[in-house]
Amino acid sequence: MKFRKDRYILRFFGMSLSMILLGTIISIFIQSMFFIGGGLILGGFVLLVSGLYVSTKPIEYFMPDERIKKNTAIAGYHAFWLILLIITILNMIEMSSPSSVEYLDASTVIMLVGVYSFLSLRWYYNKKGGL
Amino acid sequence: MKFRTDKYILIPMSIAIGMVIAGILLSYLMPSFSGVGLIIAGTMLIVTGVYVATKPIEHFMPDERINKNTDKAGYHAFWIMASVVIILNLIDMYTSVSIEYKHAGNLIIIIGIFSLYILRWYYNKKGGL
Repeated sequence: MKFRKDRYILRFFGMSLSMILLGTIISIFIQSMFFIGGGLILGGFVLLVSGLYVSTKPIEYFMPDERIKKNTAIAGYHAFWLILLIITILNMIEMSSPSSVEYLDASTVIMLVGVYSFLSLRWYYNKKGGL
Repeated sequence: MKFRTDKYILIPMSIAIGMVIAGILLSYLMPSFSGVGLIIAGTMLIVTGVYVATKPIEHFMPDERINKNTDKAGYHAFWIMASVVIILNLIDMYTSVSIEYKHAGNLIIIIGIFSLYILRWYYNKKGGL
């Protein structure tokens, strides 16, 4: 297996290694921020593994072609209307029921629905071969 | 000037005239703003219908380029809306300002819809990215 060693990969690895290093230092020396250190170490490892995977593929493998760009745009357009629908439904619940909707809870729902519907729709359209 | 009289024109026109009549009746029977709203909306529909009736049906059929630009505008409007939700979230979490859902929801919808229409108009004018 051949690994790429261009600047895109080296920058990636440099970032992930420094995240792991920073996380280790924070975890050892600042006990009160242990969770932040743990998070940095975990994030660094995820980046390291992704970097290893990416470096085994040629750079052309990750360049989106016209079809993928088109499917991404269609998925984004439909995710946009889904977000609007969710906001409208939550608005109606807020207006017509006695229960009050908190913005923090609602925004989490909106973001989760929006981002996951966008990713699922993109995957679906790429699998299906466009509309 | 020739007017089209197909079902795509007659149905919206009859709905619009029905709205205006219902608005006038509502305003007489129980004075409220909903009657005036119906009259205004009905009049707008009639004006739009008259404009649409003067054009051939092919004029309003979107071609491949317009469809592509609409998708692109929707994709960017989606990320604009997500950014607005995140910014409002951060304001709610880290400042003393408490954001109520009914205000934030309306703001997000207005920003989303207007960014979609402005971006679509811009991409159609520019001829795509």
